[in-house]
Amino acid sequence: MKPSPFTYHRAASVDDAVAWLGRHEGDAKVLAGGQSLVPLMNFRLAAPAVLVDINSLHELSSIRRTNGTLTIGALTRQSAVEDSGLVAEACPLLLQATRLIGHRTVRNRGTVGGSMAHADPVAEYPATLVALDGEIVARGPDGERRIAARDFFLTVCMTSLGANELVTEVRVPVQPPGTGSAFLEQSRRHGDYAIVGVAAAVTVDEDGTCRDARLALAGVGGTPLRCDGAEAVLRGTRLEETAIAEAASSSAAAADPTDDLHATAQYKRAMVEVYVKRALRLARARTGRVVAH
Amino acid sequence: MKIKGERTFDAPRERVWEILLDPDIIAKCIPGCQRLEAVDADTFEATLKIGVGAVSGTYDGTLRIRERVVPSRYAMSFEGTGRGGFVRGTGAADLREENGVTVVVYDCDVEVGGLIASVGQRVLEGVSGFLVGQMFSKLQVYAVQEAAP
Amino acid sequence: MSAIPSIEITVTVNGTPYTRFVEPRRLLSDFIREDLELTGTHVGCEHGVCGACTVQLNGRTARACLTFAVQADGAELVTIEGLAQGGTLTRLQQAFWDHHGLQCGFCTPGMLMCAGELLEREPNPTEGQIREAIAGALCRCTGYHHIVESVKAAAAARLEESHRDPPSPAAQPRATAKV
Repeated sequence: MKPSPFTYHRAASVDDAVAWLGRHEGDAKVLAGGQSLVPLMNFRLAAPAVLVDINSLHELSSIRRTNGTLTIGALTRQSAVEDSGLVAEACPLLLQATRLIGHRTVRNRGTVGGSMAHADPVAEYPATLVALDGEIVARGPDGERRIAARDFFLTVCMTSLGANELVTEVRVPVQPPGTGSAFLEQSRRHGDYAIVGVAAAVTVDEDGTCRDARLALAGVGGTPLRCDGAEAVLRGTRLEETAIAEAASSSAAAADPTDDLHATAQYKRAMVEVYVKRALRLARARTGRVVAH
Repeated sequence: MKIKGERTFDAPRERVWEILLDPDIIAKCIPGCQRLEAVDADTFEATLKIGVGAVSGTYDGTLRIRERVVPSRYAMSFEGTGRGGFVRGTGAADLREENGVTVVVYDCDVEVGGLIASVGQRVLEGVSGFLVGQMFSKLQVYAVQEAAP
Repeated sequence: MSAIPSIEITVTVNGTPYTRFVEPRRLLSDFIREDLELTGTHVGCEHGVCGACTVQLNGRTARACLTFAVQADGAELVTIEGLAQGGTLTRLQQAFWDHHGLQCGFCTPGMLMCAGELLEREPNPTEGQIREAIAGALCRCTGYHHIVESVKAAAAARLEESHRDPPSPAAQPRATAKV
């Protein structure tokens, strides 16, 4: 239960980190919060020869709103997102997701960029990014590139990041007026990995018509699942119970979960339907524009 | 665990059969393949470096062709070991031609043991499915190329 | 493989600086316990689920088993040994004593760290907030009930004191025990 030996480098700049990753391509890992990486290393499942510690790169720790985009530096601690009034106002779904990540102590170290790069399909942030069509900004030896959420997550714990690329920012759209959101998940105990998670946001006109809906699932496959079909069902409706029920069953049908130690695929599918309904009702109530049915 | 599925190749069955059993082509298509050699007509040895996020390992393995029905089916067994554990299994591929394309249906039973097995089914199945998918995508490219003279 | 050289680090723990040489892979939990002989921080799982190794790193709780000692170079740590000042238990520690918040004591340092952080952020927490705050620390003895009661009692005692004696406007000390 002790990690294998490794060479440690505390990066002095983003370019320095990228250079080290390139020099040891494939054998170097970024150390940010360490809340996912270090357990793997303590189990000796992961044994990188080199760790590039980016915790001194304070320029990567920021939360900014520019026009319609909320930009969060990759090193921003999850607890800082949790405490941020700016996030609460600009993107409440992100706050709702953050509160469900592990425990406060984990969130004090865990980072926004790290959670995205680790790409655990049951995690909260990947599903949130996919629901909102967010973006990852990464820096590599050839400069900066922007990766859409839909293209970023490939399968369990695999992303389209190159071995010598570093996530520098995460971008999500600022929530438009008339939007309500909810992030719900089912887990055996508070703070456990989710069995099933739902990121939901609905935008409603002043007359109560649903103009936009966003829905993504965690835990039903190798990557977060965006429920395009369910979203289409909801748009144009008044988010009546029948519309919500149809969106929930569409989501459950689209999900393709697998059996595991904690739950069968059949159970997870059933929970998708339950939690999508609950999340949509909660999101609807939070728009402040539709009377609860 | 199971790895199964089907892929369509835009090529005649004879060509698909040929590339599936050509060590030079397979070596270029298997993700992380550092070495693939034919020891004899029915035995291949390979070294693969497979990485999933932070978890990566180098595996040395052997694949043996157990049965051939040219050009419609072959069955094989394989085993490999690495620092992270071992892999063992059997599998079969059936090729059928329809409307000028070839459909390959594959079905493998894989046993994973050692440290890697403790990672959990969802990771192993997800990743192996993904890597197999990548391999077939590359094979599809070779299938439509001209056969080597 | 060639030997990886040790790195010299200086860590301030409970106000005292310590300089040592460590391998990069040395976990902070092992550094605190073995290199500094501060064994109040406990090791339960070494993969970040039990909370027994919780310390305060630069003012925030952190799992010492998920931190490498080299990362703490230049940092300020507070461990369980740094709570009581001059032999006087903190309000929270006293509440654990008075309300049976511990039996074997193995989880207690982690519990105190997590509960302490909660009370700094939320001086009058609900029972739900207390249970959530300690959810990351596992106890095998108490069933948690008396731990929750202890935290409630500490919060109530502090509120009562602040009504009786309003805090002075002088600056609060940084990175030392508060509750």
